[in-house]
Amino acid sequence: MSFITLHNVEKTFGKTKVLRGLNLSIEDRELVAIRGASGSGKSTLLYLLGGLDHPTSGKVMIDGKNLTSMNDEKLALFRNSHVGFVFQFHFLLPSMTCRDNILLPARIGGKDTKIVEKDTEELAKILGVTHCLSKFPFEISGGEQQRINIIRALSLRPKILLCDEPTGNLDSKNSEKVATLLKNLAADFGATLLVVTHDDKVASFFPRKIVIEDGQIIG
Amino acid sequence: MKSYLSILKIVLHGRSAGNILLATILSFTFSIAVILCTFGLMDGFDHLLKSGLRHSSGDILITNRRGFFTYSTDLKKQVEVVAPLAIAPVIQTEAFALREEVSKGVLVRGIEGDNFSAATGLVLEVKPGEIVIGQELAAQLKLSVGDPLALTFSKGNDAGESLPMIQLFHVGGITEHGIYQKDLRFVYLNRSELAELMGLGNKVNLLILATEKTNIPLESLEPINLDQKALRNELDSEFIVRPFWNEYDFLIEAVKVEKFSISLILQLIVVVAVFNIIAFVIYIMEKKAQDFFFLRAVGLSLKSLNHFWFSSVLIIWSVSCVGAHLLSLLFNWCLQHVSFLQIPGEIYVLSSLNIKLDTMAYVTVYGVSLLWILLAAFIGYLRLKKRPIIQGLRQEFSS
Repeated sequence: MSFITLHNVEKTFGKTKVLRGLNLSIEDRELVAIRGASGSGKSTLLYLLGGLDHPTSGKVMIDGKNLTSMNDEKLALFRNSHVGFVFQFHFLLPSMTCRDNILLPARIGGKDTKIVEKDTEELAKILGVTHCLSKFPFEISGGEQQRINIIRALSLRPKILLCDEPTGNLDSKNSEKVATLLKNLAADFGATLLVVTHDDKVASFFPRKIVIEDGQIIG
Repeated sequence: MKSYLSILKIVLHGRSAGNILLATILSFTFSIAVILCTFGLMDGFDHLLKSGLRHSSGDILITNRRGFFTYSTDLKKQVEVVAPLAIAPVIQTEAFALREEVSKGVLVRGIEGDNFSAATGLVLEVKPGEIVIGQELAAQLKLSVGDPLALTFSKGNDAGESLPMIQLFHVGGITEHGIYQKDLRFVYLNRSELAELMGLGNKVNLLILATEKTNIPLESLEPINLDQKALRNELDSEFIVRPFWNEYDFLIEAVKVEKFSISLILQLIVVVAVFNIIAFVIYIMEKKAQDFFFLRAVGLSLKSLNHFWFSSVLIIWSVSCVGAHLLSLLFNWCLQHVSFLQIPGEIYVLSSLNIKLDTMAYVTVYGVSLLWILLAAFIGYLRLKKRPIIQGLRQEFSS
């Protein structure tokens, strides 16, 4: 049985059908790029995999769990313990320091923050952002914010790392760096990595590519 | 707790959020305080009026339709049916007090000091030739103890029966009834002296009974009601039996009705404050929408978010209740000590008021305000529930 399985998944927003009868299997620890034009449904697919919403029909199975049948509370628990999100807009909360931003998922999940802090210090050292931890997001650069974002996504050692256009705001040189970083970290943490991108060059970094067009997988 | 503090940090980030929250709490506090003080003033008025009346009136008053009567042994036996703690036979008549070309209408009571004090709790000693007056009358006529004061009665003397009778007394004491009108109008003479002046012999026209201890505040009027009924059954129909508050019964009843109706109207103030809370909730929802959707994305459930909202709303309510209580204490202090807040004694019966709040008043006011604020929390919950995370994220990221 695959780690991630989608059975005839459809998603409709109002009158618009965004995903049409999607079937997909992804193995554990696979590194996957999801490509497609704007409005093709790739981000929607990502959010369904992250348990942020239910499909209109069909089934989403992750690690033997049927996300479709989970209520809001169970989905929230699933997201907190199994999923790490890296959004295009780093989305660091301005009211907290970078360290507090990183510890936020642990605090929300009621986890022991001491262990998370230790991992955070190590990751920050690897990514070269130790000096940013005590600062507020507006005090650091865009690239540093994205790295903090990545550390936050990995803070609870998720089984799935979902990245929605993580290089969308970056130049090509930094895009390469971030893509490589994500690949290496996912491998180190043993996480299944799914990266949504419209950039072919970024997609080329990942061994498996899925192409979505008009809500369907075409490649 | 940690997640609560994290969310609170997000909500209160930025000066405007903190200021709006403070203003919201203050307006809710003030609205609760207004209703508390209104309840308290009305209950205070009710309590003070009854205490003041009782202080100088006794518990039950007995008069006769024919006017004067003899306080006979038979009558005494009949009155004993309610086992009164004290009985004071009184002669009560109207007169004018004259002092330096100023005259005031007064109600003269001829009393026996000891039994009158036992029946009413008003400690008076009236010697022959002396008169005890109220403090307001003393102030208006500029009288001190020892000053002369003439009284004119309607009964004429033997030689000219159509002429009023004038008698000179000296002020033997100045007393305080606790009720402005009584302090202005009531004067006390020795009963034997007044009976001799008016040629009444041993007749009286008023019996004052104490059926409950005068030095203990009365929490319920029911015992007096029962005694009153028992006396009505026992005495002949020519006797009129009235409770001490009878004179001001209409006022006490009006206060009860007013308390109920005004509390309904004042709920409007609370509603206005609740709208402020709803506005704050909506403001935070819109301003921090991005943050909330992100929190949900990283694992905050709707249930936890609702817990946060309802807890916060309950904290706002609790803080407001404490603040309202403190405000009502402050207002009560001002009523007693700030001169322009004193009730004008010439218009109102009592010269000073205080706020009296019992458990029921607090439960009613706080309970109703809690219902209103839970409504505000529920509206916040509905707004939160309305948008799915995915829509919220996409909308917020696209803006």
